Amino acid sequence: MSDVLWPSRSFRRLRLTPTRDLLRGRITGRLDWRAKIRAAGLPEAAESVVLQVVTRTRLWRAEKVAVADELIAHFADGLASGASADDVARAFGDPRRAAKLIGCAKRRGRALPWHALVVAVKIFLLLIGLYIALGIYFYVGRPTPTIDYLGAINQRILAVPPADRAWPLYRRAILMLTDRPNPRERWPKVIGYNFYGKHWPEITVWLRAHNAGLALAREASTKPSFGFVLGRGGSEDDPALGWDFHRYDGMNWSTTAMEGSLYMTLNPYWQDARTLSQVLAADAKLASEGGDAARFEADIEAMLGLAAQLKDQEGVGMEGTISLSIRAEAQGQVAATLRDHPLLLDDARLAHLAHRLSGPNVAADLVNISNERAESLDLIQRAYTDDGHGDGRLTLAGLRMLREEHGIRLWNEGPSDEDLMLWYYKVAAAPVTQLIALSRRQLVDTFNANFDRQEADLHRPIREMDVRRHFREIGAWSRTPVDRVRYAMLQLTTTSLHGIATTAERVLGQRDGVVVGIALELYHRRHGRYPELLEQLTPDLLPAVPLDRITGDPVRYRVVDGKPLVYSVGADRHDDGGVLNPNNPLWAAQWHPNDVRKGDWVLYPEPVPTVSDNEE
Amino acid sequence: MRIERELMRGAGPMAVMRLLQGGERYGYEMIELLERQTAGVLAMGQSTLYPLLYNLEAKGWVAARVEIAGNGRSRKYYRLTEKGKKRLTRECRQWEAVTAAMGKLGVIGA
Repeated sequence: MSDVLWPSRSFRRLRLTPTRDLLRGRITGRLDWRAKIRAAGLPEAAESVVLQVVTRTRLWRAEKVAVADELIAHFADGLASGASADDVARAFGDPRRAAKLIGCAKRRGRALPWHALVVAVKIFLLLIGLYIALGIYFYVGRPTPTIDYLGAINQRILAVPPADRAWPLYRRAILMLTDRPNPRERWPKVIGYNFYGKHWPEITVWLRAHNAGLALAREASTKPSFGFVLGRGGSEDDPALGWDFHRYDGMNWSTTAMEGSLYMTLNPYWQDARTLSQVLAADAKLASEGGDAARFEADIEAMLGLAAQLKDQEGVGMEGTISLSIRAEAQGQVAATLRDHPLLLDDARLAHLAHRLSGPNVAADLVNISNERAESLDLIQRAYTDDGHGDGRLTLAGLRMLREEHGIRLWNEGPSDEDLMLWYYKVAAAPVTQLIALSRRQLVDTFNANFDRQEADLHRPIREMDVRRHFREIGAWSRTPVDRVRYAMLQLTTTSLHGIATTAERVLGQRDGVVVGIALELYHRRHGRYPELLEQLTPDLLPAVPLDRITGDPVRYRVVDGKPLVYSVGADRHDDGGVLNPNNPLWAAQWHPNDVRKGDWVLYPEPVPTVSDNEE
Repeated sequence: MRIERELMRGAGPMAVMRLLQGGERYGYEMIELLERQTAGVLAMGQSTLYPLLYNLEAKGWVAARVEIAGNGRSRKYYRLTEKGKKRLTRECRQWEAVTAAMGKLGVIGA
């Protein structure tokens, strides 16, 4: 049996030998405090007290040995003084209390690095605890949307009498124009061809075959309201038009949190409205070529009507941009007719068109952004908790909205495995994100201040906007990794109106060119020549010479080879004598402060479109 | 007469340091001296003395050395350090001030 025990005893002795002794090649087992106590030869009562005290101190072995030595000496002294073992043990006091006090006192005397380590561990554990608490606080937060923005918008749409809504007529017109078996590809290919390309004859054939549909579209354009009811169960649920999609079905819970939001609202009419405008533009060109002034005018009026309806449609997102593009298309057709068929329209029709186009002066006259703000506030209420006083904190739904709906990665997500990444994102990063991200109140206040300023900018020419300030502000939201997290929701919700302002300015500049072109045509008819100065057109044919939308000076005017040329000096503010940018005639109208292109922006006559051999 | 724990907490360390002012002493010796010299008033449970000594040692007010006796048994002797002496002087002054104040109030010598 001793043979069996020998290895374990030897190992124990080895284990209880200080490193210093081992380095000297001695296996002393000096740290075996139990053996030491037993070897002291104390009476059982005293030995028991010493064992209890030393065991309960929970000190390091070397410390226990020191305490054991001292207590052994203490009891030996007591016994040597003539006291009995029981008396000495009794006089010692409570071993538990002694052990506790001795343990504390001994630990207090340990070296500074040990104390530093203990403090570090405590701080670490405290932080872990705080993080867990923060995580729980984060995960229990739920957004509680209280405002039904979509319902409010639909209420306004439905308040318009059905007879004043254009969509039902447009819908019928679209069905008449697109009698194809697959409603998802209902528009014939011919409509997509360039008017100025080789397919123009095919387009004209198609146009002549669809007079009834076009007439219905023109009639729809006279209605005061577009009248497309938004959301599920609204106008989008229309299998006859191929709109049998249900984007909501089968999507994850973050999308469910977004259900009924303005962001998830479908606007499938955008493409049809755009295509209808192209069809009307093509018909206007055909009318212009055929000398049919009334039809030309009706098509232009229809396009302007559609643009106005879309501007006021209570939709979200692209209505403004589509409205602008339709208006630009209408103006372009007028400009093209002035260039190619100047005698098509009589004086009265030209004057009427000039007045019709002259209304808007700033971007705010051409676009309606009221629902852009509502869409953002709707997103915020679906991402944040609500404390009932306008404040709240970012929730997991908000983080998912950022990550899954918008692909905004807040953190450097190391693992490539999707599950690991989600775990990392949710468990490791999310609670910290909550600490860093703007609170609901901060977000709403900052968003509103930014939006107010941008909205105010739409009421002035873009040349008076501090565009650099806008880009500086947006740039500051992503300067550092912490900024990117802090302002992520602000970046998501903040709509940059600079793009739409730029587009509106181009449309207004084009309009200035068309109106001046009409005045020049009328002047030419009266005088048989073009004026030397644009001022000669005022006030009879033009209320005032339009200002260059980039510089604020009057637009430039020259007569080249007997033909008038009206232009802006362009974004580079350099007069190139009306020479276009060779790559793109509209680049000169680009207002981006960090990307200024050369060349002039020719307002009149409209540059002749170029069609490559490959372009259909 | 037994002294309340709170009062003992302040008096105990000072009493031990005062004992050590006279030279090196070991634990059992100090317990006996406290018992004898204070007529049991400042008698300290043995389970209290050693933690107290370790605390004083941790604060650097006392230092210890281990001596191996003739019978091979080790014994730990404590002595007052310079830091401990200064501390003792300061505490003695405080106690003098306290006792004088108590005397004026008639608490002592009444």
